[in-house]
Amino acid sequence: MGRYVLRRLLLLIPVILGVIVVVFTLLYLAPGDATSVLLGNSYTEAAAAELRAQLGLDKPYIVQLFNYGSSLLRLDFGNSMVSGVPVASELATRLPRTMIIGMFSIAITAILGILLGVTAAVHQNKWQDSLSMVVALLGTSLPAFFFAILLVLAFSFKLKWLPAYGLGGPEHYVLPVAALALGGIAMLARQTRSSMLEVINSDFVKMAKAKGVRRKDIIYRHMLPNALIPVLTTIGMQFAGVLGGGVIIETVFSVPGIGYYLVTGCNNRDYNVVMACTIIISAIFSAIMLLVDLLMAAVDPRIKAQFAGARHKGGK
Amino acid sequence: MDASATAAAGAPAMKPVKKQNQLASVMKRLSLNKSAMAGMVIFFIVLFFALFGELLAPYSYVEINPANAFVPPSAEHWFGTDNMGRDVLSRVLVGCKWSLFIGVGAQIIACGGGIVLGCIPGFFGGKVDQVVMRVCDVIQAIPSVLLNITLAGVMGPGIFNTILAMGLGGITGGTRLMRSSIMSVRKKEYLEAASAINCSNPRIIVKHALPNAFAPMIVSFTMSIGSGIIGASALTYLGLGVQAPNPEWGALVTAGRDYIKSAPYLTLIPGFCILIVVLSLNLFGDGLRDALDPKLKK
Amino acid sequence: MGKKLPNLALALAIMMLLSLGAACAPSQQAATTQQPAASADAAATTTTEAAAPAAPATSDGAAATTAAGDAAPAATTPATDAPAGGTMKVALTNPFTGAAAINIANPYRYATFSQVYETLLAYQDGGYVGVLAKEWEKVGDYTWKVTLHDGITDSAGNPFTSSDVAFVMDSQWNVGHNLYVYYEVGSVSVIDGTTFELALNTDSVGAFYLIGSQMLMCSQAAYEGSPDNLATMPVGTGPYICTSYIEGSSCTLEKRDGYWKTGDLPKASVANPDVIEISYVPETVQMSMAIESGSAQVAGQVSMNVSKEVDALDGVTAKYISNGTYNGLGFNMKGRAVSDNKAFREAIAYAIDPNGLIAGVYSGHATPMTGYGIPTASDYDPSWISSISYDPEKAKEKLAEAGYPGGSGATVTLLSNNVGEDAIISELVQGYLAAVGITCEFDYVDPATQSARRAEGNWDLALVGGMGVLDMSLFWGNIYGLSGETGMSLYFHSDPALYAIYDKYKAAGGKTAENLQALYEYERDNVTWQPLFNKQVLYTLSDGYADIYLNDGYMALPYLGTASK
Repeated sequence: MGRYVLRRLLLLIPVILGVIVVVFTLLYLAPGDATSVLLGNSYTEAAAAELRAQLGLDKPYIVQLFNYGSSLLRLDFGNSMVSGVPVASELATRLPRTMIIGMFSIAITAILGILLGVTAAVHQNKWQDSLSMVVALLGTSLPAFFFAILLVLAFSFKLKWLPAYGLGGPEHYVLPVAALALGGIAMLARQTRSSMLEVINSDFVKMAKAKGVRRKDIIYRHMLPNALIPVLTTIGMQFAGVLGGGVIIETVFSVPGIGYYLVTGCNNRDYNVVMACTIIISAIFSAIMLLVDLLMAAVDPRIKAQFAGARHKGGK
Repeated sequence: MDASATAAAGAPAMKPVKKQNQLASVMKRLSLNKSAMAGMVIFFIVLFFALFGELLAPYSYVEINPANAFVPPSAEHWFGTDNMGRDVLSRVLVGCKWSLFIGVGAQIIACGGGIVLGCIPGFFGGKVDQVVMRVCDVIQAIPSVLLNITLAGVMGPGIFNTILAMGLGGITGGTRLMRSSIMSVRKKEYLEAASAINCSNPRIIVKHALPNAFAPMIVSFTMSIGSGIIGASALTYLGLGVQAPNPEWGALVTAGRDYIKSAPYLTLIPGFCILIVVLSLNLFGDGLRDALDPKLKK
Repeated sequence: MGKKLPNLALALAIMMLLSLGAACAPSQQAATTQQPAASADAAATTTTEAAAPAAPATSDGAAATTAAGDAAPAATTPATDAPAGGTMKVALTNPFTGAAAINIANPYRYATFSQVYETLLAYQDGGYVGVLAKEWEKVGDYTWKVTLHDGITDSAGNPFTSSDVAFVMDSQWNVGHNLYVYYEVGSVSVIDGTTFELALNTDSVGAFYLIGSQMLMCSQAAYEGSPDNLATMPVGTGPYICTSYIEGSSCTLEKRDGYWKTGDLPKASVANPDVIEISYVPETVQMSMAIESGSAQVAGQVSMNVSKEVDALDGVTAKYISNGTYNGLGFNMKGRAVSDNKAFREAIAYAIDPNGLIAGVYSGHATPMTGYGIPTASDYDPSWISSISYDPEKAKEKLAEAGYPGGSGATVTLLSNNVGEDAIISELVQGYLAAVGITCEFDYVDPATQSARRAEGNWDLALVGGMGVLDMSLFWGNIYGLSGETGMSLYFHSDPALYAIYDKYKAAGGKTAENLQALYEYERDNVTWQPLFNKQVLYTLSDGYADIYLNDGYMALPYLGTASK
């Protein structure tokens, strides 16, 4: 097991390297660069060329890639081309906010999603099933900003329970987390439901019923752990959407996190910002997926064996 | 599944009948599921409007009339008019086909690409598996926002680029699904039986693994169409996605959100339409999954 | 347990439906939660239309000499007498990057920090008064001599002298400019601690005033002494200090003791509220809710999409201020169907209704341009009327004359931003052109590629806009100014007849009425671009704050400190 963990950790490196190269290439190929934004209405070819030389954007692809790579090795993420502010310090202040919103929303998504999925599975094809699925689906049927606006209208404007925007204490995070969490509930609920349904008729459940184990225990101590594997995968995949896609929530609630920083950086072709955000986000995401895989391997001996087996098999 | 094993090893002539029976039994199970049927009916209604919406529209969806802006829903304009005086009903009807186009198109790319990419590692395993999985990790790790912006930059903005960007983002999901389906099929006895009689690898994939993976794939396809429509809406919020004056529903919701207090119908009506499509597709997809997997039969 | 779950699900459903209902229910008027309307004292402190200094440039364009340089005594607000104090909550639409004074020009940064950092001059009541500058005088065609006040210090105790001015102006070259007029700064020569000479690249008086009133100043010691060049903790000479700056979210300003300026203060130096809390609220719905609930007592640059709502609110005054810019439709004058076909250009110009654009994009809050220029420009002549106004029948006639009877074959490409108002304007333009038979396709670009795409030249129409509030040379410079490399203007003007006139105008001493008139006549007769409208900016002020000074100079920026409770 230990060797497996180590191997997977080492595999993170080529993935992140791959991300760096792919994103760098995409940025290089995309037309336009920071000069357009920096010069604005005073854009002329001459001024742009001068600025480009100043920023080092006129060098060939390999040279730029190499320069960026070597600055990364020195742990130097560079400065924003547009504002001059060091990217690392920006990330240090912005990342925690995105992570807080992301983590909490995933937690809520997980809890509510699993609850709804279990309900639906246990009462398959009865009204609880339909209602749970419909409620879950509401979350995925409308864009996140729509929910955000509705939540603000209801809880901040009409009821005045929560602040509408800005940073501050925990009460400022409630609405952003809620708005972000709703979208993933449906997917998770559905996944839980179908995984539960797969085990609902299995032998060990039948035996537990025959033995007279309490219903609640059957659901939560026998069925759910076995159904969790695909559920865990789904939870892991939610992170991608939350980390990179939280930009809309951040805009609506004026929470300056990584999402907004990344999008602004993309629009400005601010290479340093985009690269740094992408590296951080992909590193975190890969680490989370690794954790999920490890959890799955720890929980399910079949998978452990499969990976152990795959190591020895050649290509078949 | 033992029956099909003997069928595969035995008389090929029996296959068509077997498939017929399978399909019939799936359809029968499906028809018993009321919500799935409801979903299908609703979706077909939506499909009807997608095909004939432009013909049915009472006004032109691009004709501007600033003097007639912000008319609330009335006899003349069933869904009211927007900030440029355009008839909302017409825009919603025309937008129907675009929204479906985006949702379905993105999923075709995601699932099609997923099948192709997933077959390779799913079947060959080992080093090939590792490489393809790492490529998937790389793609998945790149924030979709960046992918979309860059694609929009390199290829130009617009609807095809939106579909491509969302499809590419979804390929990794399809790949993993396909791969795990195939890996689970590989383990099954009948496949070992088939390879024992020297079925070639591609034949094994096509004849056995593919149909087995088909079920979760089709379910995922059906139910992800909705997320494609929502995703396009999110892209429009960021300034990417479809370009004006395309009245795709997500774009309508985004454009109308500023007016949610003075003219809420501008956002709520297209939002409700999206809700109906997604709901119907998901109910249908749920029912389809239940029908395709006989283990779930109670 | 099994029973509780469905109830939970039901509760969720009810919650969601409630939210939906909340959105649809008509919004009630906000109970006036603010303090009762300002007492009589407030009236005394505000806009006494005291003798404002005359606008410096004379109407015949002759090189202007000293403005009433000792301009400080303008509209007085003896800060010590005002019912000062309290906390004021402000909401601005967009955040910006970096709090440093030396930066890309950004109106929201200016609105936030113009009283933390200060500027040499400040716009006030139609003219300019000195803030850091005590006197200024044009001593040559391109050169101005400026004298600062004595004893200027910033909040860290650093003295501010003319070498600091030189430092700031020189350092602007290290960051992007974006406010193109900053390129007109040639050099700064320091004469002594409080005197320096500013040499510009243009003889435009307006350029001097724009640079003087928009470029935020800081001391070199503070800039270099700060670990991040003032990017997160500004230090300036103004009456407020910044006690908290969370980029992208909020900023808190507090009045400081030890402000160097005493006596009668120009409006830009007035500091009534003790604390100003600024939040950045990009989402329009959030902004309108903040206005209605009173959590934003002053809201700036509010989207026009909610103008009807805010107009109807009790307890809130909506003010629409001209922002000193112009907007029009530019034609590509090289190598396209519109370039050599004047009738085609006329057809397009006749087809568009500026009032329709204003109604559709700004809910009616903009003024249509009838002439070439902005009326508030010092050397504008109201007789410079455009010969073309909205007339679809005429457009069709011209279209036939141009060789496209009934519009067949008439296709144009419109280059535009793909976000925001530009996108909406483009849709409307497309609609108007379609109504006369012209097919208009879009070439949408995102801001990062816009300039490059424009330079490529594969377009027929583009949305033109820029500043022009101060004098016509800034206005025309934007349209006709030549790029050194391509030898052509941004819109590819190349007619030698045009540049014969323009170069005469541009030369030192060339701003004569005769040259201006010649330039106007060329524009009118050749339809090189079509003026559309002048934009406005919306501010909402809760009762009690309605007296805040909103200057209608460039970009309609507020002096937040002038608000009194």
